[in-house]
Amino acid sequence: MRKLLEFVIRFHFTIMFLLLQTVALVVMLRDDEAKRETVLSSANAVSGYFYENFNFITEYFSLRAKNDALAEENTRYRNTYLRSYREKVPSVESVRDSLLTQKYYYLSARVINNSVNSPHNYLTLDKGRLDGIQPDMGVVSATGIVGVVRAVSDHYASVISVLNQKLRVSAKIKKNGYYGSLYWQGQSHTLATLMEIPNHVEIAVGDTIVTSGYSVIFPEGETIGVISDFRQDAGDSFFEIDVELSTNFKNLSYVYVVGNLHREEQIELEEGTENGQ
Amino acid sequence: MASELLKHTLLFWAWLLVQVLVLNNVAVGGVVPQIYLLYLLTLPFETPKWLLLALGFGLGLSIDLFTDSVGVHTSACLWMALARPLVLDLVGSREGYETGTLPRMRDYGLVWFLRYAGTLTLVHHLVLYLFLEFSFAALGKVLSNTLLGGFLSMSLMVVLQLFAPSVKPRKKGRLI
Repeated sequence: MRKLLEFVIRFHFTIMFLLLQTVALVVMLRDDEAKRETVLSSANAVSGYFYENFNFITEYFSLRAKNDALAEENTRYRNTYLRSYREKVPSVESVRDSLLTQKYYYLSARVINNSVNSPHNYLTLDKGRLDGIQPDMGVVSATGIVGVVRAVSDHYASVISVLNQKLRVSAKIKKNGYYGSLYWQGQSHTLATLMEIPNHVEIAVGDTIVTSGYSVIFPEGETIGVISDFRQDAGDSFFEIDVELSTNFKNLSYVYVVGNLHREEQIELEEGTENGQ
Repeated sequence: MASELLKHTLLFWAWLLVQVLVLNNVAVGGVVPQIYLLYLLTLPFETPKWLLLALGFGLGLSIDLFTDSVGVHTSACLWMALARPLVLDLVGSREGYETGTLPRMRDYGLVWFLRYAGTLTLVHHLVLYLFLEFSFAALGKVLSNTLLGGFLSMSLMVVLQLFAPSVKPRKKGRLI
């Protein structure tokens, strides 16, 4: 016993190092991208507080650009506004459309922390659980998709960015509907890769890539980007497509968090079908 | 003693916030300079080894919490804290370290600081990028990021050290 004690005292530095390193490794390896502990993410109250207050200052440096972007977005919505359209047959009274029910709803949020330099990038939003944000909601900007909510605290949310090698997004080619999975290879913050498109499909540089709507996260047809290049390895029957992302990740300020009212229903059904085979 | 504790707590927070709020938004070639290492580098010579590890763990974990990179900076700081006593011995100045001085450029000169901080920064960055990529397949990227990051961090640290305040007035009239 005394020998053990002597050993511990003599090598306390090494032992302590090994212990702490083990703790760090265990936390790192157990870290589940889908369900991260809120305490271990940037959505925790302390970092949220500092990011929010610092953002309050830095925001002023880019007010003009942000105003321009918002004005542009407003113009786009005004153009689709019902009052902007004149009825072609004036005598017909318009009726309230009862055929459509709402499936998706949008919440606005502000980005208070953002990175593009790591292989695994995350954003922090200034809204959280109390504002109605839940894990696995999609996040989009005025120009394209941004990421998926991963952890929430009462007032903040941590979002896994499209610029994160651990995220896969179901995407399709807008003009013909062929779908594949889109992920980031870590090269540049403007480029992602679309895989699993068979090589008999006709594609061209400039084709638009949108979300497929097959997952419960993003609505169908949210813009992702345009094809900037594509390759085909010899003997491979799939294209490897470079997609230029339409969202400017270096300049994100306001985003929309997408909620899906049919989410539970769809998941329940899909899981039931899988288990019932 | 209490004022030392207060000073170091403030320093801890200052470096942490400077790193996560300012420097993490600065990247050259996709690599972020890690200036917060200066906190661990300039802790007094007499700091007990276990405290080095504890502070390294705490600071690394705090950075991780801000940047959503659980365990990565923590591990890098732990390795750095492990190596610090060893490196201090290796690059030891000929007369040994005087009491009342700190391991920094102002007290021991540029060349000494480059050897001391350079070695530890490389240790930190190597572990950092290895854990960040978490694959040996990306070894080329790990090494290039380590070197570029090490260069950036060191440059910034040297510049900042030029403005370091003196803790105690230095002895004057030393015979050469």
